[in-house]
Amino acid sequence: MSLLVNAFDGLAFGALLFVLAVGLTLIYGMLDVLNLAHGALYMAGGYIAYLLLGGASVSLGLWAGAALLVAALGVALGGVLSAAILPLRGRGHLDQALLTLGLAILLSEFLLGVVDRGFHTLPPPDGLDGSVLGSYPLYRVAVIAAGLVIGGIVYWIFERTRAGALVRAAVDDPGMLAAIGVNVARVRLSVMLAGCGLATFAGVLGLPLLNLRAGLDSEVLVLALIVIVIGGLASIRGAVVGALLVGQVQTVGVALAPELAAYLLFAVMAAVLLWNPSGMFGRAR
Amino acid sequence: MRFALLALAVALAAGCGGAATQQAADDSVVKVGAIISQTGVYSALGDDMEAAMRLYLDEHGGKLGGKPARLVVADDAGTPETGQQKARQLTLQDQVNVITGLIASPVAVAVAKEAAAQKTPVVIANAGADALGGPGVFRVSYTNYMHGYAAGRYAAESYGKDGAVLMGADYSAGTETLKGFAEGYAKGGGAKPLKQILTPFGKTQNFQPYLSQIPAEAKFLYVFYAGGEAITFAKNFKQFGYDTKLKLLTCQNITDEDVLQAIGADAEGITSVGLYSPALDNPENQAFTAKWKAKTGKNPSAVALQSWDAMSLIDQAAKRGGDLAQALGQVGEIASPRGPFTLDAKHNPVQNWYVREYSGGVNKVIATIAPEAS
Repeated sequence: MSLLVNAFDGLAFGALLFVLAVGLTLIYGMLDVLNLAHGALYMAGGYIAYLLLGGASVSLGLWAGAALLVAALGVALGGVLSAAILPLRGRGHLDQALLTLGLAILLSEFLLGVVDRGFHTLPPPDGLDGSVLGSYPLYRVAVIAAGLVIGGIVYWIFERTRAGALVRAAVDDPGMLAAIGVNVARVRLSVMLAGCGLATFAGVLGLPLLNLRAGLDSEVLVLALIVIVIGGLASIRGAVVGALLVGQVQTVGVALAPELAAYLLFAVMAAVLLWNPSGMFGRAR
Repeated sequence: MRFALLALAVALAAGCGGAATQQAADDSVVKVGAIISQTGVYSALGDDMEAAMRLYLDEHGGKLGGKPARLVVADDAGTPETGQQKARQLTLQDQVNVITGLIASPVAVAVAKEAAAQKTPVVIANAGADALGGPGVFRVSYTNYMHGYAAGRYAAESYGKDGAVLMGADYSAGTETLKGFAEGYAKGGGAKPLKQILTPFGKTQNFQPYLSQIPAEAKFLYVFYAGGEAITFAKNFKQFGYDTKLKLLTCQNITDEDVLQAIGADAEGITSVGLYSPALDNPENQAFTAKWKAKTGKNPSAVALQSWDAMSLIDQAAKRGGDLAQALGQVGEIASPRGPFTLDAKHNPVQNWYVREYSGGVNKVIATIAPEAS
């Protein structure tokens, strides 16, 4: 019974990680940019929502409105990030990593300066603050639902629309795509903007689960990186499976082998890499 | 490039040498070097620490022991390497008479080592590692062991003699506090705890899988978590309904002022054992909490109290005159907002511990655990 609760809880964390990591993996796959500011964007989402809602319990409508506004701000931040990266095109991953890491530090320190360096959190919106089946927090069920909806939308766009086909084509063969008259730069920009919007949205979604604090950005960045390393780069299916696997390892895995908890996640990552060095759904590059 | 490095090395050596020749220190001022985390994970505690030290000086006319005092604050960024480097700078360059502050234990260990080499006394205002100490090291906070030990004695008396489960973060503060609890509990006649659950330090975002390890026959849970983990634990414990299944006793950090606001309503009713409560009824505490509230608008945290007392100890020692390192050990009883305390032979505090129940925005004192008669 308690293992079932653990598995369900793993789904909730997996859903949150998916929303965060799907943008990271697509940005890497599409733009060939390792966006180390992704964790800071998550953190920015959380802090902006906290500033907007003031840490108080609010209605679901107000909460959702704030989350959409924060996602829009994330898109704007994505624009800034794209403009900053532009001069570094073709300069290799290290330069891009340094730039995005620097921007991440600036952003997170700015947020800590505006709010403060203490701990903050936001209760779930009214109506989602109760529990189900006796003692399981309703909000975590809502996070799973949100993850399913967002995953569904992303999958539908990616697999069933012309826009998604363009994105997939831009991953596979940008030269050919440009040759048939598609503005590849615009396709890349839209992936960047969408990925950054999802990252800040994840920051709001995770607010009742993970406290706002100094260092939150690097903590979630590491988790998101593990998800995409396990799942494989530039693969939505990889992000789904990677996020769910990380979620289960951190709940069911920890419950089964608590004394190995500190190493479990990295052991799983190592095992996946030994089995397939480009991740579960990644393609060799 | 190589020349620049060489020039830098020469400049550094010259700088150090210059400082060393000025050893004839100015005797008319008391210089206090405070090594505080102004950045890094402990920076929220660092803000309280600095504010309390400055408040003490402001309230005492900027003087310690009757002499004008200067507080030099250095940031350890939460790492031992930076802490040690700052200790060196404070002793050699700024020529402080005493070093205080010190939030994280690994930083305190590195700083104590450096200070001993420079023959500068250290007053620890927070770090709790049991092994920390030495002839020139004085502590006004607590040792992790004593923190847990006091709670263990109380639990044996009030929570029953069996059915204990311990849970905490897997690093020195966690394991030392739990060890202290187990021994205090045994001393009070309690049975061996049913289980000890350790969680990876700083990496646990969800305590539900660990809480599900608690055996069904458990009667109560003693936990150690601080900072962000304290918030997550308190919320998870309540959200998953464990508060209706078993009694909870916690370390003081779970309901300390730095985390209470973030825990919110889920903190209501948590019982903890700590060395201080803003609700303590004594004149020193009334004066201290009033001043602190006027300055910050909040209740003082344990770190704020300890930092105030660190300055108070230095003040008393400076008043005695003579060698400061020696005087620090001879102060005797210190009147503190937590109630009077003394330092034992190892320079650790002998003090009351308080059982506090959080309700209506404050940790109310429901019992006092006096030091064991030695």
